[in-house]
Amino acid sequence: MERLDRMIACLKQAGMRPKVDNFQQKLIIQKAMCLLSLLGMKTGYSFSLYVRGPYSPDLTKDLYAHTEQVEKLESSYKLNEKEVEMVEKVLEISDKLDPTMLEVAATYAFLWKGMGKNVKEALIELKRLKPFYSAAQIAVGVSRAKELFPPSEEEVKRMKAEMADWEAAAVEDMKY
Amino acid sequence: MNDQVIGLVGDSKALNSKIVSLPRLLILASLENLDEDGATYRELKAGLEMDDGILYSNLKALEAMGYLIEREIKLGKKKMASYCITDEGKQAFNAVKRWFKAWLRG
Repeated sequence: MERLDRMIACLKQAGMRPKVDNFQQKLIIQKAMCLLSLLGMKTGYSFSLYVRGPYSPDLTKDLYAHTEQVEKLESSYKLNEKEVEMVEKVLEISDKLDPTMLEVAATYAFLWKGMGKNVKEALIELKRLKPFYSAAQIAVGVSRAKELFPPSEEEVKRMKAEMADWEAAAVEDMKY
Repeated sequence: MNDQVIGLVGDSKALNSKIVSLPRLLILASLENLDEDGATYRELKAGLEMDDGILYSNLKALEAMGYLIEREIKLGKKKMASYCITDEGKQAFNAVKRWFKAWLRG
């Protein structure tokens, strides 16, 4: 099963030692795979929004159906260069798979990039779903999620155009 | 009374009417696809926007019916309660869904 092999290869690349009966480790796997999907990796898992935030029931089914293979990290799949880069990015922004960071970042990114909410709506929904995280944890998680999805050249051009009048006014103001 | 209502009355005998309340249906619906993983108390409270009194009493009621299992899980250094739906819970919830669908079809 390619999606299972690919998922195990990602865990291996991330340096995980997964234990399938461990709630925290399953949370880490769910949120990391969600971020990888949002980054464009063809993980083979589809995620939807549940009370737990983004979650893939199929991923959980695979973990339980192939526990030994997952825990022994047995996979014949070789990640390509781009996929390795994506895993490294997720590791970097999550402080090496910190569960809180992953949960906040993945939930925000899913609301924003996966469900198409704007950044303000995504933040409001994130705070509603995860009120048990502090404002600082939310702020850091959101900022890390944004690091994963830098604006495209077109978005930068549009932002620059929107800011042009303000910049001109500021320059003018500095003359006096 | 028409035939449809008679049929619905007959079908309703197979339901556990104790789960037909908004909080209980929302709890079962939110746990239905989470299988063994379930959800923590705090996730249910936030996601379903229920206050502690309503959430806790309904979780306990569903647990007493054998429809939920409570587990203690560890997240970081924190220990917390997590709930998952049982097979009996799924069956009872699906029976209610089927009944509502039959009602709406009429």
